[in-house]
Amino acid sequence: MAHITIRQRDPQPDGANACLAFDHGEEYPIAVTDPFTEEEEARLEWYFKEHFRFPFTRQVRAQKAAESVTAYGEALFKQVFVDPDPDAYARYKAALQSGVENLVFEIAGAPDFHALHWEALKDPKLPQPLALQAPVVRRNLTPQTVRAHVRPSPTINLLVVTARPGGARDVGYRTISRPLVEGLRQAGVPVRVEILRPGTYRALVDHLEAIQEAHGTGHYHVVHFDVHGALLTYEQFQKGAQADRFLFQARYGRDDIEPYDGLKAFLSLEGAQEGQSDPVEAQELADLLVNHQVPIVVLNACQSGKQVRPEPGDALAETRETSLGSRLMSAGVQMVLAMGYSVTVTAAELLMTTLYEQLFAGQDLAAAIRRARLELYNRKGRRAYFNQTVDLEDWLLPVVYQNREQRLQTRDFTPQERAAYYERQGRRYRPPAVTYGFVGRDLDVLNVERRLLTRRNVLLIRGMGGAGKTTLLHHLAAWWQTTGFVDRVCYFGYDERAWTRQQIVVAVAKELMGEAEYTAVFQPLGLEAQQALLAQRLCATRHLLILDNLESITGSHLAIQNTLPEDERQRLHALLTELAGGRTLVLLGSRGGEEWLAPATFDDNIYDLPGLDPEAASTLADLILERHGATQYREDEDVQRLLDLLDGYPLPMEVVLANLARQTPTEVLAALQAGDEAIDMRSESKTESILRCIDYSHSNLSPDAQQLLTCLAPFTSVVYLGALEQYTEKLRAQPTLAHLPFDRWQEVLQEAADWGLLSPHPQAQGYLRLQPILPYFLRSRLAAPGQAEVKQAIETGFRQLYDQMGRDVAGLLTSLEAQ
Amino acid sequence: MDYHIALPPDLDVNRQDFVADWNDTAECRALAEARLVPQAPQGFPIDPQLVQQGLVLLTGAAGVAGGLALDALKDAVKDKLTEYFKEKLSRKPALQVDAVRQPGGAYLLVVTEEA
Repeated sequence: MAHITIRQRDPQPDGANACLAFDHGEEYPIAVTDPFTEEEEARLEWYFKEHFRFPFTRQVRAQKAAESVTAYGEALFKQVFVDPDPDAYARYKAALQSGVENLVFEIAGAPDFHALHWEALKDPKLPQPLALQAPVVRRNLTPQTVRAHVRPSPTINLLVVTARPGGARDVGYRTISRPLVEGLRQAGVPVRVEILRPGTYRALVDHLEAIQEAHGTGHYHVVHFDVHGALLTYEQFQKGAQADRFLFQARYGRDDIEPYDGLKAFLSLEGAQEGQSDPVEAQELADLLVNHQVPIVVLNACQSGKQVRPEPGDALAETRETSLGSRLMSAGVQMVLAMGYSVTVTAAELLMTTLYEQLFAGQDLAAAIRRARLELYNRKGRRAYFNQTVDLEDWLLPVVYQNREQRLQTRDFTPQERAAYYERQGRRYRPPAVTYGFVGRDLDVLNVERRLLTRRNVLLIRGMGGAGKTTLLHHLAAWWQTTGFVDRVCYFGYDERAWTRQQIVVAVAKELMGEAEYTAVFQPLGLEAQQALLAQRLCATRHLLILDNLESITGSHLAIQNTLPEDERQRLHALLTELAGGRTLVLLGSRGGEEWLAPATFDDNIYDLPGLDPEAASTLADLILERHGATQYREDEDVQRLLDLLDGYPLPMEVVLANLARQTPTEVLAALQAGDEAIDMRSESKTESILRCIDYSHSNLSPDAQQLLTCLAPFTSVVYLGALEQYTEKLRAQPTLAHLPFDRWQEVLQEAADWGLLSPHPQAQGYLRLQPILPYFLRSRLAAPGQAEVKQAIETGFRQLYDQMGRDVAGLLTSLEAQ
Repeated sequence: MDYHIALPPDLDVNRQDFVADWNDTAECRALAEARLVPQAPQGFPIDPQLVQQGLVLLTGAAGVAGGLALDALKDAVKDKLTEYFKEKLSRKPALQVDAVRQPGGAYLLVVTEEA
């Protein structure tokens, strides 16, 4: 490796303000000036910060900004290698002979020197900027007072701090962490990834303290901050605080931010409430990390590596450090990867995915970053606002500060460590395979975690049939275990078996205790004592207990075999009551509200699981269409209508869209609306057939409820409760339907809601949201032989209702009465 | 059919005010209902909500399908914005509204200020 050092030094009378050296040898004086005018710098900043916010205009300006990067890099190259001394250029060319990939560029200087875009450096005779082929690292001139050291470890230990203060209005919770964690499957070195939960400053302090107590200082090799960030003036900070968007006072472990001049770098962690962020100032973060001997920090926050060019004539130019990355280096961190300007989510995702793939494959850090930078260069399309795509030259953004070369080194396992590590790997929870992979749900994962951490450790996940509860529960179990949130996982599905309290206690004890302890300590105890021992263990340590498909417990015995008698329900309730308030997380999955189980367990801690969000639904649709060779329909308007009707429910999407392999979207839409059974999978499983999925609930309704619910067949998506009385009148007037128990509507709707067939609409008060497939199911029943008369009567009542509503609306439009 | 309106960040339009103005104007409301919907951040700024306000959605415009009706909607957006600038900001920018067809068939109404 040939080291090329460009070092700032005091300005000389001849104009030289830096020197160039090869392999730390002879120094060549050079004069470095900013190749950009202020206007050009402002244009580049606009390009990275503003262009993707409204990518419809100023295309010429964007094009010029993109082109200016090359011009800048070549001008800087000329200043450094060509202008000063022919001998220096000859040395450069000689070094190049061994291959540009064997060069390392080190830039050493004060903040004003680091304001230059050294990563743009480009030899006009080479096709690409040098940073794409060789590491470019920066170094401060200020010596570090302390230096972080990692304890020798057999695994690479990585902590990911993800903060999404905006919740539903924020970047996807796992956009960065999920590809990172999934990359572990191909890791060539043993890696442990933990994700901080919740993403607050207090949780970070507590976590680092706990790790220090358990392992000593220097446990983590890398801490990755997957958070928002910016350079702020004090006025900007105050504006955020006054709007209650920034936590200002009562910041955990830190004083209030005092007024300051110029800009300071902040990272945004999560505040006390959703929508509020807790800005952590660069020095505060540096102090915390150096206390815990963190050697490498990775940041995907905007402007986390941005060094603002000091004002001309600023006497303190050399000390005006705005780069968070640089500040962390001064505090003792050995290597920092940060972002020079605003970074898009797509770029951060691509950069970090490649970086960790390389790191986990055993590459050294500088080489991994170079490779990730190259990936940004080769794949320039970035998702902009308004669902647009723009090309950006943002390979320039990653800025690497490095004191000394960093390689993530591990020591050999001791035999005991090896056994423990691979035993842990061997007992990892493995979720059942999902046909199209696990898609989306980032916001649901975030919401579930927040409820468990801030409300109660027992949570009911309630969702209508086909919403994907079981798939989510299995996924959470694996995700949380892999990312260090829980240790052991125990899953009990009541659709498979009527698990009694005793069976659960025994199964959990076997999972938690070794064979010896189970036999010697647990087994001799009576059942009550076993439960007490196990509850104590579960309350003291964090595991995950999942009880799924709870609606089966109280189901009709004829429809579902796995019900529990009343006394057994009470025992189960008593067990869960003992776990409430402990460290173990308890997730309950059901179509209904499970009121019998709520008191002193989950109480009102309920998460209503919706369908997939539109983006995830679109991704799943793409996967389904691709598998079934129907991608030609992707832009078809009837496919869009189908997606609207299916409301992001994974199972209905998988079953209905699969029909596009042999039918047109128009035909599938018509079949869905007509209740044609032919579009369903021929399966007896409620997780494969949409009719079975609904029948599982429907068969548990009372006969009265089943009959009455059929009257909702003509509705699509929602039912307006305000019109129910009128609709009932029209139905009652039909002789075929007159015998129906219309006075039991409220009871029947509640029963249907308990079985996950409908629910109050979350956005529109006074409306019921129907499970997307319920109308199809009901229509398919009406299409059965012998139902023609009932079908006609319901359709007549429905038509008359809308005739009446139409007349009422027309009356309002033409009325001359003010009220 | 739903239409999203893309407003340039530097045009300084308060989206909430615009939505309220639109829905309070009978002619506009007859064409479609305006709503403010969140737009997921595409970057990591410290306060995404300040960087990018919500997205204006015109919904329930089923009766305006077709070219002529789309023109009517574009004209209404332009007129309403012009009125907004005149009343709230005492200026009269020359605005242009272009319809961009999105994947799935929906339209994005892109507002720009003519140079």
